[in-house]
Parts: sequence; C-alpha cells; structure tokens
Amino acid sequence: MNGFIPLAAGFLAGAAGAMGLGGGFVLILYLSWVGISAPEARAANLMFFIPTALVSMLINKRNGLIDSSVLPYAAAAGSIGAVVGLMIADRIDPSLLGKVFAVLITAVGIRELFHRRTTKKKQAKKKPASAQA
Amino acid sequence: MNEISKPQAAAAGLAGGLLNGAFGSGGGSAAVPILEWGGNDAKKCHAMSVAIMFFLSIVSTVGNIFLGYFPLDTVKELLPAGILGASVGAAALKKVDNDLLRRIFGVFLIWSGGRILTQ
Repeated sequence: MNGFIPLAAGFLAGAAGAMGLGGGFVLILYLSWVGISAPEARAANLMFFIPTALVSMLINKRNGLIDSSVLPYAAAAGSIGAVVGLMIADRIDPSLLGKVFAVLITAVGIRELFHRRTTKKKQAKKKPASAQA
Repeated sequence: MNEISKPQAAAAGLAGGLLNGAFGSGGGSAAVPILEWGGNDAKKCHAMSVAIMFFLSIVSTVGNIFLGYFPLDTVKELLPAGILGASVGAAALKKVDNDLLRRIFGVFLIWSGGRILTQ
C-alpha cells in the first residue's frame, strides 16, 4: 500500500470524517479497492476513526461546536446500539443489510440536499440593519 | 439557536451505534439528521456526530477485536495522513456555511447509497 494513493485516502477520510461527512465511506472504498475483505475494512475504518475523531473533537471543542452536557447520553445509548449492530451484522445476509442501508442513506441524502435554505433568512434580516448603518 | 436535547442526543447515539456496529461506518448519516431535528445548527450537529461516533467506534472496535478483527498494520499506514486530514477538516468545519455543509452531506449520501445499490 505504498505511494500517493494511500496518503490521499487517509487524508480525505480524515478530513471528511472530522467534518462528519462520512470519512468511513472513503476509507472503506479505498480498502475494498486494495483487496481488503469487507469485515477487515469495517474494523480498520472504526479503528482509524478513533484517533482522527479525537483530533477533530479537540479542535471542535475549542471552536465551541461540542455540547459536552448531552454527550454522555448519546455515548450510553450509542454503546447499546453498537453492540446490537455488531450482533445483527454477524447474523444477517450482508448484501441485504447493505441494500437496506443504501436506501436509508439515499433518502436522508435527498432530504439534506433539497432542504430549505436557512442562512438566507438570517442574511435578509441583517440587510436592513446594515443598510441603515 | 436551538439546543440539542438529551433524548435527541440519546436517539442520535442509538441510531448511529446501530449503523456503525452493523456496517462499520455510516453512523453519522443517521446521527446528523436526528441532531438537526428542530433546527439545530448544522455545524454543531456534525461536530457532535463526530464526538458521538468517537465513543461508538471504541465500543465497536473492542467488539471487532472479540470477533477476531484487529487490522492494526493497515491503520498504522493510513493514520499520519488521516490525522493531518482531520486537523484540516475540523478547522474547515468552523468556517463552512451551514446550508452548504448540508448539501455536501446530501450529495455524499446519495452518491454512497447509489454506489452500494449498484454494486
């Protein structure tokens, strides 16, 4: 895996992951492309995410984007979900699981892509104030 | 600006954990929309999603080790570039426009979903 491509894949996965834009997909795509098995790629992605997310969290915390008061609730509920998810992955046909997942994220993607613009309203509200000044 | 409630954070964690555990990725695709529910700031939701996924990745990684998957050599090779990328990505998150962030996220999800469906 020597060369520019793994560096680019690592960088892109780290950057996208830090922005909450699905760095895992980038890394899993790359790992599948170099011939690593799906379970191994999934495990590598999760392991890769631990230090990269930690770096991102520290920067995001400094930038005031992390609300620490609700994080323990998410972590506790999420830990239960992660264990259940691992058990499901071990028992259900992976291709069926993949298709369900694909439909789900496509639906969410359409919702995100075509959402109503929110910042325009804020700018419109600000305009009269700046015009007065 | 609205605040992320405790039940909302718990729901985002549960949904994200299920996907991360089952697929090894994609937890954020469930967590972010749940966190955004009620008009919360998109940047904050993405940052919170990363923080939630950090904890869940630890749990899932421990689970994977029990299942016999510990690809440390693969990760070690990708990690230096990944850390650099994470620093750049987190710095960019502070500056990016909320609507643009959501639309990029949307395009990415549609592309990923389409790719899985056509494989």
